[in-house]
Amino acid sequence: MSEGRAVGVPLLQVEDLTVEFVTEHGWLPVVDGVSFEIGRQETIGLIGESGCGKSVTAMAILGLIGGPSGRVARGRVLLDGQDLLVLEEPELREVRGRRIAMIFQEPMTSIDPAFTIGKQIIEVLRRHLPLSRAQAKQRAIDLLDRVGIPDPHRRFDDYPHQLSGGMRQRVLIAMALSCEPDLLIADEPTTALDVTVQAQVLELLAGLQEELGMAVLLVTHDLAVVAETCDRTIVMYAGEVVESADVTALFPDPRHPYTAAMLANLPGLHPGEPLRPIPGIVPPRHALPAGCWYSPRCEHRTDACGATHPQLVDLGTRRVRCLRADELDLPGVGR
Amino acid sequence: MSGARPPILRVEDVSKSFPASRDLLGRVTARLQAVVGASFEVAAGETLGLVGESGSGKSTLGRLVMRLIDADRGRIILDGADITDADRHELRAARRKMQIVFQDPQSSLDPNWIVGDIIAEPLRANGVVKSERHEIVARLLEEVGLEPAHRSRYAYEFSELVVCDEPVSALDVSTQAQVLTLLEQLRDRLGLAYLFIAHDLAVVHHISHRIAVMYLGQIVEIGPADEVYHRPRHPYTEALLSAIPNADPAARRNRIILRGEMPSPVDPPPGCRFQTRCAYAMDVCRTDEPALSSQDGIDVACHLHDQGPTLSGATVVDLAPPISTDLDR
Repeated sequence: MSEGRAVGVPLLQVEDLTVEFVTEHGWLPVVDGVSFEIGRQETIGLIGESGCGKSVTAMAILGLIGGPSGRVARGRVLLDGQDLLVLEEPELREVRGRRIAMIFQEPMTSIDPAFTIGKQIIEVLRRHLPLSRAQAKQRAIDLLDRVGIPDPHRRFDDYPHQLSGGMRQRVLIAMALSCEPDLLIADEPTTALDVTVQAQVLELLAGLQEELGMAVLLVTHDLAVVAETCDRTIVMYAGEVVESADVTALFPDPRHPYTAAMLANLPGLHPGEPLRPIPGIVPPRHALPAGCWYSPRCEHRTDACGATHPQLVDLGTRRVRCLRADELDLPGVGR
Repeated sequence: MSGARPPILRVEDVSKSFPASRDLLGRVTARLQAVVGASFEVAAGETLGLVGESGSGKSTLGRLVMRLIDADRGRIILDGADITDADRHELRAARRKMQIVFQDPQSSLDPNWIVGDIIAEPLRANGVVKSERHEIVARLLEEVGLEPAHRSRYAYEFSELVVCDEPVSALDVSTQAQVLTLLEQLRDRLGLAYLFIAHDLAVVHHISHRIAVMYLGQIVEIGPADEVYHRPRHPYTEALLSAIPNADPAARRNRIILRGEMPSPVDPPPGCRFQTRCAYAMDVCRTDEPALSSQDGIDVACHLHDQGPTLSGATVVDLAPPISTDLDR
């Protein structure tokens, strides 16, 4: 638990976040004026197709955008009211791991194959906490046990390649949660796993979230996983937020045609009926269409949609970026 | 599906193992049993979905069908011709009738690759001239919302059976829908048969006429897609289906979570291969291997259907709560 927490302030506030990358067309925004909040212990699903900017948003929150090819052009990322984007790297490192932790899709890229899993967890623990070697080892074994690694004393000395994909993801979760962070950012954490192992890992994450009282930002293209695990959903398109609402409101009653189209794309919901793919692809930033950026692919577009870029309108229980949000009756899931 | 035409593919009791370890002299000391006694048929124009977790043997089975690897035992019959022992020359002829589409994250990002593998080839074999082929291909792509690209790169060969190995698993939902729709249109217009291998059961249910479920190298259940999906007969099928996340937030439910991991195919458990993780396992399951037996067009290998509660072909979903819960540890 953190010190100096401001009362009544959301855990994380992302304000007007704009991230640019160098392309052959110059600096172009990949994340464009994104704002949202994450409450304490809340689970948020960030969804959208590849290229919508959802992973870049997650990286920016972690302060991982930099170097010659990427920059945060605008915006603030406030953790308990403190802007992370103005912190120097040593302070940022303290925030990462201690307050905000992350897990990614492919555990092998985040775990060093040359060291035993025990050694790697101890390293994380001792970087952030004043523990002796023996204390750290005991804590590491407890962590492995907590994430459901059988026989943790023996597994402690295993190398990553000796574990299955599901077990490696558990080790990664153990490392991420070793300092009991307030926010866990999980980028496609179960995408590479079998559905049965995915169910195990999601159950584990939900249990640990409750136990530790942490918030989760789940970045995924799997809408069904979001429906099952999240409180709220943020839908991104071409670098912008186009809709956000509680999961129980968004899935049965989408208001943005892009959200509705993604739901209509899900196989298995309406067996025997053809899927209705969205034509085309997400437009590249150097060739954005006039008006609404989704309009060329939208089956509900009117002339006005090609002329005016819609604002993200706050309707109280949801936000939506569509000129026709009030008049459209879009099909959702489960009604 | 079972009309007068013979099946385009018949697989009879096929098994395949690989050396898993060797001693100092290079002699094999343990073998990994990848596929054990698999039998099934695919009718012309039919899609058989093959599901199972990593290590279930489903991809090995696809490669065996394609004769990319050789079976230890059993027969593979393509369009009436036994290709199990076909030599290189005969195989070349057989491969004109079948294609394989692999999962490849690089090329999968460009769904046009599927066209090269599937669309243009049957058109050519059916005598459609080049300019017309291009027009048909362009129209098909347009219908599913894809930009026609790389038209000149299409390889032209004939195929009647397409083995699809995880063709959409690396794609996000909208691209996946485009590719699935394209595959369906090709199948329905050109009469292609698919052996559709995937771990995503929602995808497999969507595209398949029949579904075969594999566990540790064996087919444990096979039947019409809707039956297998809605009324699973095998406890493993039930658990696998239960693990699928549901996009309807109102439908959040208690699911069966399989404990532990799949045993090693080098040293599979005695009796039923699923008994170490099965909530319903009985004494007989730990000693006797269940055979695949047929009831109402559904084959299932499980003792529950002839011993113990005796389901006699009914779905396992209606069965009373599990006999023991010590699997939770």
